Amino acid sequence: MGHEAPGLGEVSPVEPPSQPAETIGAPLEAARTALRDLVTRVGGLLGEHAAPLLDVARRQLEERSCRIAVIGQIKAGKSTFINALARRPGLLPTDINPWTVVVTALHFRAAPTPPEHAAVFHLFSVDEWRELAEGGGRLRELTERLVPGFQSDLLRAQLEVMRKRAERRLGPKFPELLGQCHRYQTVSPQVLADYVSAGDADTWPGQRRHYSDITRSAELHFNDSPFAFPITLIDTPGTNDPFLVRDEITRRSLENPDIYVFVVSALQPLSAGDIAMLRLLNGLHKDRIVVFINRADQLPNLSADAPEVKAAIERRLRTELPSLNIPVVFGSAWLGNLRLQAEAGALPPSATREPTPASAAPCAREAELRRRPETASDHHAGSEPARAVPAVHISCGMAEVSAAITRLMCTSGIAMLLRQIALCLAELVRTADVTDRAELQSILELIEARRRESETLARRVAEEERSLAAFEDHAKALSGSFEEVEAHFRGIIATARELLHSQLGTTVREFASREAAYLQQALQEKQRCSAWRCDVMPLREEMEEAYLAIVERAAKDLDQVEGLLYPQLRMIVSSLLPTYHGGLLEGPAWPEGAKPSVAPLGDRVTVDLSVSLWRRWFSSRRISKERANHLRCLIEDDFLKIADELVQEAETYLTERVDYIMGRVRAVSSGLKTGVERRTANLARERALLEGVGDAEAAERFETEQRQRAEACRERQGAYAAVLAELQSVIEGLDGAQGESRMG
Amino acid sequence: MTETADLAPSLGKIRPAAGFASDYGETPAPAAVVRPKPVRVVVIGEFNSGKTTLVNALLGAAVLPASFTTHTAYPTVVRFAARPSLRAEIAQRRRVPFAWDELDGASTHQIRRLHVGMPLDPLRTLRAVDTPGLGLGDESLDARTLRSCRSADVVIWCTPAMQAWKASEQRAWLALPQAARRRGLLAVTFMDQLRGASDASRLLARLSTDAAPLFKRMVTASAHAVDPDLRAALAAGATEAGG
Repeated sequence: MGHEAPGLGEVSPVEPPSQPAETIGAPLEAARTALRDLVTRVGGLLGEHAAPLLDVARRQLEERSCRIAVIGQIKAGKSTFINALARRPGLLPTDINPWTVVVTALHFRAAPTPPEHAAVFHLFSVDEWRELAEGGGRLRELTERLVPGFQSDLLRAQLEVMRKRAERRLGPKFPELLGQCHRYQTVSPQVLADYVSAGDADTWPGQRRHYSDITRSAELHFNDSPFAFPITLIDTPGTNDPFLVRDEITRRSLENPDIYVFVVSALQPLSAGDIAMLRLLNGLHKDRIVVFINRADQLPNLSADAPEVKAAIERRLRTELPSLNIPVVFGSAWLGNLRLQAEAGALPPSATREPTPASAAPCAREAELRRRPETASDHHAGSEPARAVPAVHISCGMAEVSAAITRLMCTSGIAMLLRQIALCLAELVRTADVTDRAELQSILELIEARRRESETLARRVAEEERSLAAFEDHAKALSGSFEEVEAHFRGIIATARELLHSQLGTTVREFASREAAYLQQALQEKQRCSAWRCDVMPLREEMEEAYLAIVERAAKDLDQVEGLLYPQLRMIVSSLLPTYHGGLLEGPAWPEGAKPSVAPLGDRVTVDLSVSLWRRWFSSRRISKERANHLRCLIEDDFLKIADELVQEAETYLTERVDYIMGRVRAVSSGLKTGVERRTANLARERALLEGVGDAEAAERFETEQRQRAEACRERQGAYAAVLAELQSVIEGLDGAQGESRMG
Repeated sequence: MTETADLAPSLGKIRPAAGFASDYGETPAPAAVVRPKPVRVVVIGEFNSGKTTLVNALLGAAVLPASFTTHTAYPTVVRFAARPSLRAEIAQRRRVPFAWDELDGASTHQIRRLHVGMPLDPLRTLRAVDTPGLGLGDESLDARTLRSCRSADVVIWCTPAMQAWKASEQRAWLALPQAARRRGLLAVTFMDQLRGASDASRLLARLSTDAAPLFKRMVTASAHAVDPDLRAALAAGATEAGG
């Protein structure tokens, strides 16, 4: 704690001015708010045909939050970090022992009214519980494949402990609770402890019901958000938990977050396990990781060690993961919480700023150590620290980490989604602009013609009828070609599917054979290969590369076909209004840089199992050829399954893209069609008047109506221009934020 | 002789650990008495788990450089010597003098281990082997370190109190032969870093059910104090080994 640092007491006790953490996601929130308003305005301007697209956009703007997963080894300080980031000290229960056992999602959304349920807990279903507590889950499955018939005593013992504990805490009839969902109006620390904390081994009979053993997920909702953008923070149980069952649950339940905050302890930063996890994450989710070096306040010689530790970590990251630039923030979530408490008046400010005399502290600590441990009765007494806090001069790092998260958000899928919504709105407005301009032009021409003489009018009407008929023909041909184009799109997807299937399969089989051959060779040269490990990271990388290349190629083909589609649409537009140059349907609709998911590559495979299990494998299979064959089968089984999942992901991604393209052209063309239909109806009335049906009064009424419509068209043009200008500035804002964060 | 002169500057760094109350050193054993063979203690654990600090605490002096940023790079054997000496063992068991501050630079020799001799009383009954930390990613180095436990009388596994007993530690410990584990002590280090009086008892309660059964005994340690139980356990180890 830096007591050793001479002169620490002289460090200026002036704390850095306590400023609220930078409001996370402010640039995106500005765009989101603007777009929400624009969707409503565009809805008012446009007809029915736009409603489905606008509804989707509105829902996305309302519901999509930025998912930030906080991950790391046990006791890295993940829950403490979330408490500090969310500016709610003491919210999530923390403890000296691994304490968080349930993946907990905290939804923050600024809203005037509190959510209906502040806390929702889902318990395991009967099947899930059976698979986990009796089967041992995926870990057991992999182990069984590696060493059939062998179940680690440890895993078996732990499963037994879990079952027994659930029974003791919840009664022998606890299976009846499975599948339930429990809801609470408010979040209290006690309720959270009941559902998400490990709890103590032996203090529970007869006390509150403790559900954490059978809780699958926890969702907390808050309406007073400390963040600008809607944020979902996901607290996870730590990895590297000796309680193997818990480790398994964590790995399984992390679904596709937008950003990862990887929390490591400054005392043991970047162990082999950390690096392996970062390598995997980096492979899967480039550019979406922040590393937070926590517990800086616990460095024994803070002032001297902190800069050195930070430099060492950055060096290590550069050597181990040379290809990427992960932002590293150094700090102390514990200190962050303490400052928040002091701000709120819960602690005397002196607790956070008065350095203890350097000489007194070690003796006090020693005396404390010599005391025998007391009973555990006083735990959870409160969050007030018993420790002295001389670490006042270091930054707790929360403002820096918030800024890093905001920067990542500006290049994330969320920024792309917002941009896409803006582009889509602009397109709809331009379409409406075209139809209105065309309508205005035709009305004005007809009025003009009527004023001259009826003969001209008749000619004009006939002309207009021909032009509309031509449009109908075009449109019919177009909708035929839509179908053709869509079939073409599906063909591209099918080809990509085939190609992926065969190429990924070949990659896996070749790798498996190669590894098997290496193993056999190694065994021939040396019988004892206890330190032999098969590294499948290269296979993961090779598969990722092939996968992305094939999907990319398919996406390019889609772009090309898309490119053929637009000139046809533009031709129709020019047949309506030859003078229009509004920049409609330029460039591909899909946001640049959007990538298909590579999540299946992160699945744990048999080869990832521990050295000791592999040693057992070696001793259970004596013949080297048999070993090699078995290894090949293990690799093939696991990775061919992953290959299948990747093919599925590719198909989903490409289909989504095609659906989006088709949705876009359909919206544009139906917008044009609506305008034309209106004109056809007008023309029919005109023709009827011309042919002497109806009287002068009707003719006058018609003329007035037409004048009003023309006026309305003119007015809307102003509104369109205003909306388009605002959309343009939203897009520029998003691009600017993205550019800045790339630079920063 | 010249070697001793060369060593002087680095030995100057050795100083008693702050606040350390030694159980030894008050009455040095007379040299003439036949001493039992010193008990051989190997200290292992993940990196930054306080191994070097524990060795220093056991010896009552900052004999080895302990740091959070530069890790112990070579197995280091500390034994009694009438005069301080620092030797690096290189190929063919040759030993050459070294100084601590030379170690991080590019060495011309392939160093296998370091030998430190010190005229410290605790070393009359104990020979300590400090080891490089496990879990930095070099599996063959980890395997070598773990092998060095086989010839030990006592194996001390250090686990830091703030992040104690992770799956990776459990895996590494269970991978040792049972004979070595039977001589194992679990030392919970950095006890002085815990953030509250109750934390220690809660932590030790968990470790006593989850980890301690895999060891002969569990003890606590910090930079400034060594659990008397640890000394007792070492003395017991000495009786068993020396018998």
